[in-house]
Amino acid sequence: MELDLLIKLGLELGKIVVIAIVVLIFMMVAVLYMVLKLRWVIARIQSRLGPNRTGPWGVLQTAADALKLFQKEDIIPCGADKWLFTIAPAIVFIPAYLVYVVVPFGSGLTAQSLNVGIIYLSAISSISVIGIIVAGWASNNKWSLLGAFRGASQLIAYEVPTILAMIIPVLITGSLDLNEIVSSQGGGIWHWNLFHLSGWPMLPLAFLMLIIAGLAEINVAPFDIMEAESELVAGFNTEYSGMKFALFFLAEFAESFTLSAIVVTLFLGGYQPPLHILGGQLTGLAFSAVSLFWFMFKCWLMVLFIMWVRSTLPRVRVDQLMNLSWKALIPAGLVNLLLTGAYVVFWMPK
Amino acid sequence: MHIFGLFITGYQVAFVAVAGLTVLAAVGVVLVPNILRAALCLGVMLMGVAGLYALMNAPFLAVVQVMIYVGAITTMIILAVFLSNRVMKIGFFQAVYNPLLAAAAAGVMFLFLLVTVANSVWVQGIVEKTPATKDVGVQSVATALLQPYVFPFELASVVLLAVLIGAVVIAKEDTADES
Repeated sequence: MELDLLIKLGLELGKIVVIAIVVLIFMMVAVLYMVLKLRWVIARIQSRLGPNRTGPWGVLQTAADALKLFQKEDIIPCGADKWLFTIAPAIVFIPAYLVYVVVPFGSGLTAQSLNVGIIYLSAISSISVIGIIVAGWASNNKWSLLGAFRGASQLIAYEVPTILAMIIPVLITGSLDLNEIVSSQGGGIWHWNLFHLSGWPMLPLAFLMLIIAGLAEINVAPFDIMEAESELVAGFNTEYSGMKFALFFLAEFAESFTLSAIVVTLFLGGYQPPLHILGGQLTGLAFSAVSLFWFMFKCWLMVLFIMWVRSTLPRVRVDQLMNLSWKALIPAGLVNLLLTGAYVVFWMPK
Repeated sequence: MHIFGLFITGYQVAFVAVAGLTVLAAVGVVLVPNILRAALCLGVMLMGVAGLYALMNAPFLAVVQVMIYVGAITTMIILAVFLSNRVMKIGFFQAVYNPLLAAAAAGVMFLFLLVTVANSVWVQGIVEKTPATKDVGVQSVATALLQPYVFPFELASVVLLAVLIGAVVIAKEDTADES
């Protein structure tokens, strides 16, 4: 009886460990490819060649870079707070990894489906700002501290519009569970929240807000004022090298994939195929595989879109960034919330 | 399983571990001399409380706890520390000027909490040594907030609004002084 229980517990733990490792490997591989793709895309947009020497077409470039990072000396500046300096990269990296738990990669392909999935996502990703602040402060360097300070005010300012934008599809669907939000968008491209124009015309506004605020939340150009290399050297991670720097780097790219996954899940139908005949008639394992393909395809389009934005737009100033959030995005988000709430209560067909 | 003749469930082990971590971090908040480290301890402590909510089958409360307290409040506290540069440079000393008075005040608070907790109805769940079976979902939270408790809920938001307006007024006066 006791042995039975222990075996069950062991199996359960084993399952959790396997899922954690699979997610981690997926994250590493995705980031390796995203870094390469980013350098290719930016090179194309700036009429350069980009990495093309290491391996065929340069595909081994980021693997080589990663190898170089592992070999680098792990430097802790003598004025730094050793403990905080060491744990800061972990505080940034762990939330970026934990959010993958609830992402619905395909039909039945969620590590753990939570009925509060969307709040879990925004709650967990809000932790990483503490890591950024700690990293900047512990480095004992004025560029790092300035970067951390900017980062804190930026992330606080943009968390509110992100959540306001994410609430809109939640209100329309009536569920916080990401899987339910996706399954409510099945049946073709005109059922996706973004293109569901016969339903509620304010959804595209929420989509736009989520992309703008999300780009600021994940700290990429044009909103990368906390790293701003022309002003702050490298911002909060100026003093970092080797593995610790690699963790910051990994978290940043993992977050940009997460943003794509959130946008795709909430507005672009998640893992649903764009037309019913493109996989909607399948069931079971076959549909899981097809839906995984569609989810990845849409996410990569979103990732490419983010790369396009970050390679073409100039960096905003600190005050412009603050004004955009507090004076434009948050009021628009509140009005949108009010209107959508009224629509759901009074007019929405049940 | 049985340990030292006592029947212990996995749930109890998890509860004691998370509660222990929470208490340890709370002690750290008070005793750690460096104010940023103390703020980090506060973050760990609040995460521990979220963990306890999760263990008690209140996932909504747990994630909201992380979002509001860990993500926003702790960040705000650290930002305030940044703004007060003096506190950051000098090793922050958490002095207790009158230990007897402090102990008395803490003791009274502890007794008050103990009496309140012991007299509450929800102590039943702990006695049964099992997690609450019914999942406290978002809908039951919403119903509770907007039907029986709508007045205290609205009162809390009025208080928050007053705080917001107060903050704006204070900030306005500052800029007027500069010009």
